[in-house]
Amino acid sequence: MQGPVKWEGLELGDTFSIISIGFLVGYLILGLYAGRNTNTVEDHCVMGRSASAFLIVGTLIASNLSSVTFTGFTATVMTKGPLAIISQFGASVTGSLILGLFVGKYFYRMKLLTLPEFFSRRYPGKAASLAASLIVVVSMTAYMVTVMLGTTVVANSLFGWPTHITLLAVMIAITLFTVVGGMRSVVVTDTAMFVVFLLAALVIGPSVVWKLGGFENAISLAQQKASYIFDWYGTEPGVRGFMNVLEMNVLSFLMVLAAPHLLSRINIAKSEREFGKAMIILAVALPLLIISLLYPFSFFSLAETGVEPVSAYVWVCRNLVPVLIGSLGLAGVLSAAISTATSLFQQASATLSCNIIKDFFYPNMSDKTLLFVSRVSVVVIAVIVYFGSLHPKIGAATIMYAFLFSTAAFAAWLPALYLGVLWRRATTSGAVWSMFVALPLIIFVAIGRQRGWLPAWVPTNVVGLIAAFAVMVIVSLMTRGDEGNKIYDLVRTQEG
Amino acid sequence: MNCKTGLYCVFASLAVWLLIITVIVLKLPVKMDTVVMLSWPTLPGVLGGWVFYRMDKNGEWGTGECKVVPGDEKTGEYALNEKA
Repeated sequence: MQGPVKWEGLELGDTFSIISIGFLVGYLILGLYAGRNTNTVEDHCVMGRSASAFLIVGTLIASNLSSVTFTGFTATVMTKGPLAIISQFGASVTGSLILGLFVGKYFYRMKLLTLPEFFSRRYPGKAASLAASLIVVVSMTAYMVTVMLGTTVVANSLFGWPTHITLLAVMIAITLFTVVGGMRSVVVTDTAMFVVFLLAALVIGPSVVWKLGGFENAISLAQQKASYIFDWYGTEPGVRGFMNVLEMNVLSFLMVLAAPHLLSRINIAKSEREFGKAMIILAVALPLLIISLLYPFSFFSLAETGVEPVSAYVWVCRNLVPVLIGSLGLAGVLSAAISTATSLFQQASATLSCNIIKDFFYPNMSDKTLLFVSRVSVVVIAVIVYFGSLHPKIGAATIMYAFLFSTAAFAAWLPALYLGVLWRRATTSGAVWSMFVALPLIIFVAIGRQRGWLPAWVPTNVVGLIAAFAVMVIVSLMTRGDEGNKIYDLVRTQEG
Repeated sequence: MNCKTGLYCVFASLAVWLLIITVIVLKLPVKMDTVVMLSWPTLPGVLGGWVFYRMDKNGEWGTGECKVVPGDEKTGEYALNEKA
């Protein structure tokens, strides 16, 4: 391990920390530079609909993966086997392709600034739009608190800084470039971060196998001590193993198809085709990144280092690869966490300003005022997230509720989103009822499973998804079509 | 428009899949589980690339614009598309 670096008697940290901080400063400068020409609301929310396929791939992968992928998933493949957890990225890839090649174009044609805007156009009236806006603001803000808590844990272990200092430094950096540059800054820095952790994954993962003397040796050791590595269910056989794989796949599918911070990337593309192109590139890059990173870590326990599973990734970066590559790997963890946080941040603030403040309180607001309000919204949400993340008790509770609420929200509104552009008979009543019935049901199942009222293998998201679809279809068939059908006709009948 | 983009992705996905088969799967004592579970993230890219190639060839991409009656964007009221 490299020794501490000192400057005029002040200990700055080791070489890894210094290089990682260098990357963070670089991201900040890049974000500010990218956003220097952001002058309109369309620039701020959807980067003037000018994103190339490469930028869309970069921001989608960076936003989808967080520090959990590097520290949590590597620990899980070590203890439970790699195949079940890697399989969930099959759902991510398939969902992305469905979105890019078949359905995304219908959303793109609506020229949306935010996702809740879809609900106000497709389902006339205030109820669906208000429900969607509140779901986005609350779930994204709460979700961001959990991501920031993860970021501070990683930064603490890397740099040894106190929590409030880490939090303040990271929050100031991302607030600054989200305020100044909006979506453009977020997308450009996301893409830079994606390149960093793709390079890190391609080297850091395989170094575990090199440590064991090559792949043949690793397999030979695994046959004796960890044969679950070769089984699709890992360490959880039977119904529980199957349900585990099913739930993870459905969760990934929901994230790609319905998470606001991922789905919003349709709106930044410069054309329908460019978004489709991005999704087929993603279908190549994501499996390469994930398999290179995660599969080798399933052999890490065979090295008998005595390292805790959750610390394995950091240990490998510090001990098995050259300093520069190790620093790249550690910077990759922070990059992944920050890129997810910025995307959530951007979505929450854009929805608060455009879909709640403007639509419900000041509908005649000028474009210039709305841009100012969007920037103030970023600061307001930053303050909420800062204080939410500072208190460990609030943070711990929020982790659970944010997870439950976010996944519930995604499953609850997925039928309203997709049937809205795929089924002409979808009605406003169907959309509102499906969201208001599925949301509490999913929260009930999640809490029931945790407290033992329901079997642990009952997949919360599958239950919610089935309920939301059923209610949406039944209520839509029982009610009459409305003005929203015109939007369906517009997006479905465009000349190619 | 580069109509070969889809084909490039077909070949790239196939290359990633073949890499996984040769570097990982062929060396394992139990192969079937790993083949299935690692093909699930990689092989959809082959199909996706092919579909994208066909869409390019057939000119199936739209311009991304809806036919909206001028002035209606502000009121939120949209007219039916002429082709509807």
